[in-house]
Amino acid sequence: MNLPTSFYDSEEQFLSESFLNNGYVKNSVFSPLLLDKVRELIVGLAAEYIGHAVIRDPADFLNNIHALISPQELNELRSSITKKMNQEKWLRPVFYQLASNALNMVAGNELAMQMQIDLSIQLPGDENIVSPVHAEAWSGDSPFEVAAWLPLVDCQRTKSLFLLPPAASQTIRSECGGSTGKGSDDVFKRIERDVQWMDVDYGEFLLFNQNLPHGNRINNEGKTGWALSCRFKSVFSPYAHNRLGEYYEPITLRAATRIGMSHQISGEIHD
Amino acid sequence: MIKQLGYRGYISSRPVAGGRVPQQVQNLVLRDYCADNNIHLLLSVTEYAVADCYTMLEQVLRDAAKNQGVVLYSLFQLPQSPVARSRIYQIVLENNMELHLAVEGLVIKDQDSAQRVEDIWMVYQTINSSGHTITVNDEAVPAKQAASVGN
Repeated sequence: MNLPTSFYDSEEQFLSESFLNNGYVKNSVFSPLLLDKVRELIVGLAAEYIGHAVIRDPADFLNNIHALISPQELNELRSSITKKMNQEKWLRPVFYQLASNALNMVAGNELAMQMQIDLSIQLPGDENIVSPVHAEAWSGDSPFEVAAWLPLVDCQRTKSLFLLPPAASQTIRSECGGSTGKGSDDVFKRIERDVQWMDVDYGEFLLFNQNLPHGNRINNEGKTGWALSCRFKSVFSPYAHNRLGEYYEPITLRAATRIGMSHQISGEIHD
Repeated sequence: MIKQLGYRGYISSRPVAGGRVPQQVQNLVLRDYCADNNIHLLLSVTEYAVADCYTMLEQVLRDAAKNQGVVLYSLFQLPQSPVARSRIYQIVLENNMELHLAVEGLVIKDQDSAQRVEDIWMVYQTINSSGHTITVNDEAVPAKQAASVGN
């Protein structure tokens, strides 16, 4: 019998190395049934906004919503759905469950979760929703954050997002520093050959290292892209400017931590 | 006595969780939150600037019977003492009122929602008492020092 010599099991080892070396991991959701419930919610809210009654094919409806709304109406639709979906108390626990196994291996099993789930809708040819190349840590966010991305339709190439792999990211940050006279489009042109498009199908999720340069471009795939996203981090890692309570809340505190926190706080803090 | 239905606003003249927010900005956040949630906001009261003082909050809670509840600018305006916070949760729950926390978009109205807020407080205080370095106003400062800036 071969006894283990590592504290990580083989799956943890594989996911950790993938995340470190590639900047992301992609996996199947924990429960396709729960994912369908999430999509039903979004489809229902979109249909209500547009004034459609029954949606027989959710994927077809979402993929082709650009035939029903204009780019000018998009932000209002997105804001309306985002507000209403976040009022559903089950959405965040379900979102977490769909990716919990990989999240626990990559970020930890005592997690803080973003308090609002975000929705992105990428209409074909719409240049207003382009997210220029960026990395969250460049804007002062905690480098301990992990982004979870959950597509509601199959998303390939420009219908999805791009990520610059770790090896190619080494020099780009220093090039962006100071007043270089370059815009973010110049930065994208500089890295375009090296970026990797995140092809993620419905039924899968993506966890990626948002300290790596990423973003999206004009959707040239002819169908509308839909995805939910949310950030997670280890609950006791630094928060930087996405503050506890305002942006993050603890979701999976363990019993021993609760005991320790009560002990420590009652012993140290007095009004 | 005429019951004045609505929610009393509560703002601070001290830094909140290490950051100073102008009172007019706190009031803007309260008004925006209340408009978004169909809440009738009554004139805000401002806590005294004296460190660790919660006199105005105590009064607002005592007056709660006249109103529907209170809207705080932030959950980090609650007392640092877990015992004092627990007493506030108890007052809120026993009087069937709601304590809204505008910046965070949270509401204390039952045991579960009180626990949710308390979890955030406990992690915040644990981090700030464990010697981590955190960032306040873009300057790295020892966490204990940062914690003492607030409330």
